[in-house]
Amino acid sequence: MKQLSLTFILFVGFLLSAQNKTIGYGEKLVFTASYNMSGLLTDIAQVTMETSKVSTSKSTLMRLKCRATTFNSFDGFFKVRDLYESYVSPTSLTPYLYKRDINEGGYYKFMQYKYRRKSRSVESIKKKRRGDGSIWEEKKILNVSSSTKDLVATLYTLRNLDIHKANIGDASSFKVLFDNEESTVVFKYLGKEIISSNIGRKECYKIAISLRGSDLLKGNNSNIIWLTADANKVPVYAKFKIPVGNGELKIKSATGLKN
Amino acid sequence: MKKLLIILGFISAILGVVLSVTPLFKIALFPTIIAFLCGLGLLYLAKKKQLKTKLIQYIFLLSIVSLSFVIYKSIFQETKVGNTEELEKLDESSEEDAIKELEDLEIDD
Repeated sequence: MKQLSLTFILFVGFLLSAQNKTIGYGEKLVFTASYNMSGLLTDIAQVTMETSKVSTSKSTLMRLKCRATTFNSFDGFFKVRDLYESYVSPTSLTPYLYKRDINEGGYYKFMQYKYRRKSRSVESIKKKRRGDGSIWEEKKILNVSSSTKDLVATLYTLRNLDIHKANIGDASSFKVLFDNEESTVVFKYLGKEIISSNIGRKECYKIAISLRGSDLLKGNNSNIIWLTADANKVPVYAKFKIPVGNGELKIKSATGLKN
Repeated sequence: MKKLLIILGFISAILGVVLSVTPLFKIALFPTIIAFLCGLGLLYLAKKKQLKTKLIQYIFLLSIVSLSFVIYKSIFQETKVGNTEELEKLDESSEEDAIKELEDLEIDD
């Protein structure tokens, strides 16, 4: 049992210290988000994940950007225009700034996290639109652990893990800051599967995602992501459970890959 | 039995038509199928007991209308992203703001 625990700690430690070998500048992944109810698929939105180079006077960072846009048939029904950004170190994918700007069916919310790595704290700004149209703002200083990341950086970190070294059933956990609360996201390796997608028939790593202590992503393998079993580890397909039916994310195109 | 089939058939047929004009039009297939089955059941009863078929015709008509909408939309409706002009502007301004915010941060690597 001790040996097993030690192996697991070493495995997690190795994964956390991993350098970025997977994600390069100028990568663009386009996905179609669909709603699946008893096998009837309805395309709802387009999701894009892009990377680019951002230079400040002192350093160069990588901008990880995720955008969600509903298709025009849905715009009159429930318009979504979401922008998620994370400014990370290009070598270690450590985030320094996170921004979330969501506009969903008239609901507006803005979140910003400025990571103060040395003091292990995060300066958080939260903005919401009131019923009368005015903006309400809240500023907070949050104490976080040294390895805490945001949602976007965690998704890219998952791609950077050495999954080829993992055995079926191995799990890796990450501290994620979302809505000013620190939670633990667990990625569990379930094995390999062949997936047919718009970018071809690919052998993929099947990974279950769960959020410890939350009902949002329950840990019963119902939220699964498939990453190509190559050096780019492109997410080609994702399946997630929502209160009524299932959601799906399918890749449409992948350009500017590093490897 | 006849009354139950008429009520269920009408509710399902109307629900089918309403859902078929929404963006989630594919879901309209479920109530449309129920309405169609109710219509068939009523037709069977009508033949057996020599009843009027006027109401059955309305159920079938509504089912055909919703089915036509579903088929038309499935074939001809394109999945195109709506107007993203505002999002593009936000994207640009957000990056500019982020660079300013990053200037006063201590970045190790």
